[in-house]
Amino acid sequence: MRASRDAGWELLEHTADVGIRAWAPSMPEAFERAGRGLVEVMGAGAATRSETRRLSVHGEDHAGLLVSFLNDLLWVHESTGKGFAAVDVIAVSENTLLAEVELGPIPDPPPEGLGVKAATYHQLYVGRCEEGGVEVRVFLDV
Amino acid sequence: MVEPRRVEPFVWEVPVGTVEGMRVPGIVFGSDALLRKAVDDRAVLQVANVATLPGIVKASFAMPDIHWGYGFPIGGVAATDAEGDGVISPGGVGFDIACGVRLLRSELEWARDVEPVLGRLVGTLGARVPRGVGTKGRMKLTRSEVAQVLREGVRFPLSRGVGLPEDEVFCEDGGALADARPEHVSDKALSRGAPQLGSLGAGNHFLEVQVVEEVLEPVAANVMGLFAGQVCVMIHSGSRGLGHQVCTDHLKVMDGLMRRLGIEVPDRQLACVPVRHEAAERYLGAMAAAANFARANRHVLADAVRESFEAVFERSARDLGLFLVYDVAHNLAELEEHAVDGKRRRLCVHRKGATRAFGPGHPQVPAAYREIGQPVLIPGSMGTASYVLVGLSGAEERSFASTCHGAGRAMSRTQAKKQMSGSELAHSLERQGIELAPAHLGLLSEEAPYAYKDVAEVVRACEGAGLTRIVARLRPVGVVKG
Repeated sequence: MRASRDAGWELLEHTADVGIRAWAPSMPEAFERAGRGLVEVMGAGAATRSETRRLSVHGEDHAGLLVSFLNDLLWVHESTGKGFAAVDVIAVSENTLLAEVELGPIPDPPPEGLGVKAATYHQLYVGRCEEGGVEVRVFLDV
Repeated sequence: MVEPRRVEPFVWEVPVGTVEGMRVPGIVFGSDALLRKAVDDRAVLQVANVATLPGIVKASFAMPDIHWGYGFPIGGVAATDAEGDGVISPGGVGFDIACGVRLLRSELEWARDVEPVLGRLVGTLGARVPRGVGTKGRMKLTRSEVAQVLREGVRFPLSRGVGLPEDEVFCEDGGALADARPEHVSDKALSRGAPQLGSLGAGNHFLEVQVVEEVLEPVAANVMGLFAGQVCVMIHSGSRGLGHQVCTDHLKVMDGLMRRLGIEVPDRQLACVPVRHEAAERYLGAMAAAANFARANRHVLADAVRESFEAVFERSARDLGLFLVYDVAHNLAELEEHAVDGKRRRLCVHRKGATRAFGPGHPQVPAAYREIGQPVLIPGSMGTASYVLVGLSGAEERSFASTCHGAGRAMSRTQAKKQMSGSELAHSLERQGIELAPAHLGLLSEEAPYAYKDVAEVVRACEGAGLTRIVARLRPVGVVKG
């Protein structure tokens, strides 16, 4: 878990899988925290940067965008074999999300991480926090 | 809290009306204790949710190893009317398309042949079996070869001299689903998963050296070539990143399309479209292609097993009797004919964490096994027994010829890690005489035996419910974890 009162993420319990709850003052920041949570769950962090990639994600709504964004992070990680030195969500509109990721080599030996198959739509939530700001919840299939 | 009512000793009903929009009842198979666990972890509510799917036939079923999944419960079986208004839901198959189990037998006896060299054998297997997150597989493929694997399943590696020719006979569907459509597998899926053919993966996937501890059905065991004291190898793996991405891609399409078609479901992960819709045809074609990849993956892993045994025992795999008993999938949807109210109907049968179990005489059971019924392979949790079962004819009527797929989780990963560290678990397994070749000790205890239900109770419940019969119990002596 990486958290402060204003922004962060934490793991949610599930019998077989694992969930992420993230929160932040704005939607792009909350999505970004969820993305960083996924990277940590996968053990896919990188210390150095060798490549920058832009991600443009489309979805039916904000919640669908969150799932597609996390699944694109997963795809980038598995198809390149690289880790993430940074994950930045630049903008979120109703149907589009723009993000930039800094990729780099995964340390050897690699950090421990779960083999995540996908982000799911199960009990998916994107909405307002009680304290203000945005909260998201998403479950991962591991 | 949903409270199913008992209708038979191992059969429980979740009545229509438990969840708004249920079209059929839910039927959960299990003992009192297993049912209690399913109620407590909300999996029974998911059984009720699945009963709302358009065109669902007879009941939303759950096997005794049911636990909370995402959308569908793990252990769920749902058949929909493929010729009417029935739907297909990629969530009813899951992300690890055609994840399954393969069992190799041998002529080797535990005490005489393998116990003295167990450490070297597990070490060799650990070194030759690619495993862990995102690992590259044993078989390097060009783009056109990947398409061949997606169409031909185990026949592709066989054409390259990998495996024994008779292997394909002892795979479900002859090792390849005929209606695979590689053109509906995206570039993302290919780039993510194609390099992984012949790799175990992570999580609950494993390869185990096992000993047949007890034979409970000598006739069926003899037909399968199993005997007490014999050494076998069980492989549990799936379609790797390729299958995961196929599900992700098509689920996204159906999530959007479903709303435009006016279909409403209680959980978005149950996204679905009519089986006769072209989006469903595309998914079924891509799913079949991923299933062929999964079968080829386990086939190539089995080659690593044979190679390791050959290296340690300095005899050929054929000479060691390392033959395939069977290969089954437990995450799949297939178009099948079943009798419903006395009429044969074409149904789309989703099995999410459930194994097909055809009884004796079924034409899709290999000729060698047709008299005894289809072998069903049930992996235990790490350090506990695994089982070989056989299908019963009555299961066709009771569960669309389906049974359990494993022990079923009972505890979250965080809870499991709190009970014991990975190194403590490794020591505990060693004290039981189990040789371990783990990838990451820190994550090992997430898959600890105590995180799962009692697999023996699960298979007994399947027998009690008339779904399958127990043929043999196998205990692990060597574990290679993903």
